[in-house]
Amino acid sequence: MNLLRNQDSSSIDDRKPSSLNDGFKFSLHSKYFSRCLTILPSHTSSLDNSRVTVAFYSIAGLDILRALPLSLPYPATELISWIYSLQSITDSNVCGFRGSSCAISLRTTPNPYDHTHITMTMTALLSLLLLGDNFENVQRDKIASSLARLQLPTGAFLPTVLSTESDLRFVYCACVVAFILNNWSGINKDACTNFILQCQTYEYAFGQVPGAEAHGGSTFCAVAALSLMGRLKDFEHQDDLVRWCLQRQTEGFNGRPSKADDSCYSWWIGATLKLCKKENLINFDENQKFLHATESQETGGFSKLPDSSADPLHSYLSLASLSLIYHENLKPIHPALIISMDSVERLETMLHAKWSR
Amino acid sequence: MSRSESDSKSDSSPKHLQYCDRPEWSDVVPIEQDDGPNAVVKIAYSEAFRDTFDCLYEELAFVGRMIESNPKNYQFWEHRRLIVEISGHSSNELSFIASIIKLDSKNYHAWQYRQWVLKTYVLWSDELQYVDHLLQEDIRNNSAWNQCYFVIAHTTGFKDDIIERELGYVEKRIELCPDNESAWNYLRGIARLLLASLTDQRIWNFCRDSYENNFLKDDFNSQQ
Repeated sequence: MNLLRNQDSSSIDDRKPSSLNDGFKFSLHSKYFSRCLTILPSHTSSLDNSRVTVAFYSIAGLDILRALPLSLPYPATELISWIYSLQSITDSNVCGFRGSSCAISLRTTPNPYDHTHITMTMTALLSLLLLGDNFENVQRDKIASSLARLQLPTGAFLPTVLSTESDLRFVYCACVVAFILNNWSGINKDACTNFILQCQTYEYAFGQVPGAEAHGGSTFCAVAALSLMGRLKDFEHQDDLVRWCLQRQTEGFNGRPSKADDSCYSWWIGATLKLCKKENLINFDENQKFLHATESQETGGFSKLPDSSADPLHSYLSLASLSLIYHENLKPIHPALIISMDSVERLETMLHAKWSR
Repeated sequence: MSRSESDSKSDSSPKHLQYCDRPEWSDVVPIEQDDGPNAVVKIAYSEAFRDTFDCLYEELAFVGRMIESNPKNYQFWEHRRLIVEISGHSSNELSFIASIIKLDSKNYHAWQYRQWVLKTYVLWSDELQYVDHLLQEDIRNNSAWNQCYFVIAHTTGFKDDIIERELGYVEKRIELCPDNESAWNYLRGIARLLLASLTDQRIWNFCRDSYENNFLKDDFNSQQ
């Protein structure tokens, strides 16, 4: 019942905005993201083939903290050229970005396992946008048409051509890529929408694949993808979905019934509610209390659970969750693309406008 | 040993070198297929076929050990799914998955893979019993409630008599534990199938009684 504690007759705008004194260590978080861009400890070696995602969380973290480009450990141009080095243009059929150079042994001899991956393509493009790049060296048409090679007859997406996995994660990534490039020619939107709706369960939230248990992460992917496609009106029982989302909040948010709170769900569920225009039903004070418990006081950053160590994903998504309502220290965030509103504005008014001329 | 060396294209080439003779596979102990004492429809496998399959069994055992130490790594699960798909060696899968679910009853990858095995190899017969067993252990196990819905949707379907049976099942469990979100969500899910609304008299009465017996009393007591 305490979920509605914050609700009174005043509108959200009248409510006291989160202030400088809400106690989060924002400058320490800038240092954390800056450090992540330089070197990570050895126990993170499993991230080796997806290093560009770590770069994205760090760059986007600095951006939302208004610390770009000042707090970058390297000149932005250096980061931009590293990201471009991950673009694969040798394979004319599937163009995109790799996560790192870890599968490249000899650049002269192509390795059959050196493939682009849709999540890496998405985070590489988002990072380029945040760093102010003008996309002139992005193979925009090739990347957009490659999406068609990754979409299955079911409407779902594979992450790479060699893969056999397909689920809502890659559907979301494909929609973000098409949205950034402002080119939906590689996506069959009807099939895609149909797949998403098949993943809705009897709990009215979404599972990773049809039949799978409703899950906070898949639910965000589904609702954000529908929103990017302009198909949010296509799904029924939105009120029931909102009800399920609100049930996810105890102090912070969990991703499924009877699971522990985890800071990333403060974003996945919070953003889903925002996309349904029901973020005013979130108890933001309680959410802040939980995120305080996951904030790393010494190193900066946020962890998944209280009293554990910070990682780039949970650090960024925790801040992103705080910026779902007005926050003095943070830029407002786009609820579907998970980057600052002003960079989405630059994408639409500068880049999209230029490309459509 | 480099596990990525098994380029399948080379298998069909005339100069195919068997895995057991390749130096880079020398540390892989092939596991021979065990057909049992009285096998029917035996196949006279070619040397190359047997060689490759024995290595697949080894691979299945390997990835099983990897999953046991990394139960939340979805690539291992996907790798296992592929090996089972290629080898058709599916008979141990439900018990293997159950052993992982025992470690964490809400492991999403394990449940997703279990659904694939059930559907692909049509192994539904004991699944509702398994789900019931899990719910006896933990009545709030939402993965098990979801599995219950999944099994019925793929077997009998939600015909009227099945809905009646399931209403009885879930009502009993709500009475045991009234503040269990998973059971209430299941009730809402099947109630919608029944009437496309929640105004069915039986459900309405159940909810009213449950409210009066549990929540109203609690509210009232805590206000005293």
